[in-house]
Amino acid sequence: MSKNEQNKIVDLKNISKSFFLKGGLEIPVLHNVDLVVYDGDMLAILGPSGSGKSTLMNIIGGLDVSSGGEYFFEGKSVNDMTSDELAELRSSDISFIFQSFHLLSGKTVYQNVMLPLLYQRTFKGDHNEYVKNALKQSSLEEEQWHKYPNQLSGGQRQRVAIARALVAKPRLLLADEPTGNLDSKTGDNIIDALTHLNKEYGTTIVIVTHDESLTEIVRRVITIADGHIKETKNSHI
Amino acid sequence: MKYLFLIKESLQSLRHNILRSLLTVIGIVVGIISVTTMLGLGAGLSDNITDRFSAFATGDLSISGDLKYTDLEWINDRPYVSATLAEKSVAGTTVIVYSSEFSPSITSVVGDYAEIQKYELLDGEVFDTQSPNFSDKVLVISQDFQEAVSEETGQKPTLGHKILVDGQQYEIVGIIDIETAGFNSGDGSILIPYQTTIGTLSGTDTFSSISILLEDSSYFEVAGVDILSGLNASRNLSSDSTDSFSAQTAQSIIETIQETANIISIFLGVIGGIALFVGGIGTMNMMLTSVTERTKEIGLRKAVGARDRDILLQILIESVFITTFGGVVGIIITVIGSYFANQFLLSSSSSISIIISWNVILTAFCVSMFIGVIFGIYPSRNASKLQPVDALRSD
Repeated sequence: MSKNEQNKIVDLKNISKSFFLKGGLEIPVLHNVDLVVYDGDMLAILGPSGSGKSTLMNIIGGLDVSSGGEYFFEGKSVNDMTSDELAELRSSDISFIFQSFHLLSGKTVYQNVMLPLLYQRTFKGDHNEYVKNALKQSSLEEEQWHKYPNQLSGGQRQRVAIARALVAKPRLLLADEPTGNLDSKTGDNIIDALTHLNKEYGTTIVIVTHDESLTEIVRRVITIADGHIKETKNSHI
Repeated sequence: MKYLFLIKESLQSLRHNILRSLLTVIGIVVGIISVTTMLGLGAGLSDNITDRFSAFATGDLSISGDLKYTDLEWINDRPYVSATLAEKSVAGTTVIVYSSEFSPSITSVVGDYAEIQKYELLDGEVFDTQSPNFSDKVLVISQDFQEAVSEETGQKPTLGHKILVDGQQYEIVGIIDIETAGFNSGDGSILIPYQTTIGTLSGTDTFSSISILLEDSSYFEVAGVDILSGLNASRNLSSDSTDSFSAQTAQSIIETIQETANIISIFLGVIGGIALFVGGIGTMNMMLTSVTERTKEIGLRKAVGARDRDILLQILIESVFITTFGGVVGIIITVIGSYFANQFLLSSSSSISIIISWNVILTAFCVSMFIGVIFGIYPSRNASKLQPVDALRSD
């Protein structure tokens, strides 16, 4: 096995995805997508609305399954995984940052961040230590830890979502339009935080976006249109 | 740890929607009150009926049919018979005490009343009517009759006092406390020797049943066959005929009564169960609404690693907690309520009470949990089967 093979986290081969409407009408969304994500990588999947980039992210994250092709996560076939095994994958190895944050309103910042650890079957560490580390990595002040999401600004909420994504120390972090609901200054701060995570801790990050300005801060840019990968280019970074 | 976490999540979720949770609990509370009260009432009714009818189920063996005094004498002569008692209700007779008219339940008795019948002697004695020539104009009154007369006239009839029964004077020789099966008019009971009623109070000289006490109660089967055979022979019937006479043990009579009482209890329980069923439907409705409202949350939980069974258990725990909490509150209200209801029933001289036994409490508790599981399965299964990507995308 080559070094590159060893460093592959995500390996998509000929992935396709179709949705079926009532009456059996097929809507193809992805066509024969090949994509490799390496350990420590930071790449952006760029494309307009409806191009299939979010569907691709959902398949990479194990939230959805492909209609055809093969998907290997660290060499293991994701296609063959059961529902429980996919849950385990999301619990231990992959985490998400969503455009609309998806924080639980009835829980404090601290409780929101702890949630992924509580679903882990094999977690042996100290929950509180992990949560505090994640909150610190996301630059959330201690005075905000016991606030509820509705007491925070948009930027702070996204930092909570980042802390929640980091808490279980995932192999891969998927961010779907992470700055989509934020003003440009706050959005820049969030991107800085993600870049810092990648550089400082080596966290592998895939950002799904239609914001072309983000291509400046990632190592690779995958452009997707109409369900096809049109272009892959390496950034100057 | 895992289950504790899921329990905490469930409770937090219920607290988040406290008003809706409490409204759902009320449905279960009403259902459990209904079931436990009905079961308690059924138990009280069953006890009451059994107690009252047990008073009739006297002796070891009871022979029913168109029986005559000579039959009683013949049965009495059987070697395995220790004592006999025949009772006959005398209807349409007025009793006058202290110039006031009463309508007690009058029973004409012959045989060893003291040996076979269940009663408490309060004063005097119960006459021995074993002798066919017994013709003393005496009677025994019940405490209820004594009290009825006392309430009406202000005077209490005691031993030696003479009262008029159908125009003839009878002397009180005994006062007893006796169970009456609840068929009297409220004026208590009077016992009169059968021999003194022939040709006066009683229109016929037959009995509908004879109670028999055996030398050894285990003889009941052989004794029953022998007596029926003899009675049939005296009427020129085949020895195994069951057309005219039948034999029953006291135990079998009580068992039949208890079976009937149990059916009444079950019927009452089912009526109460309808309210609980409606409460269960309310719980399911609430859980379905809750799952629909929390679709995004469920999607998020799945996205961060929750398995199908984690979601299923969390929703199921919520449902079971609601119904069990409702069950406990319902049981507490029923226990307190039945205490006060029984105080009221006691003060109003009712002999029926609501009996909330540990069995009823345990049954109600288990049923409330079971309702939570049954009516929680569908919503929790729906929630657990949600695809994370669809759930996150939902509005």
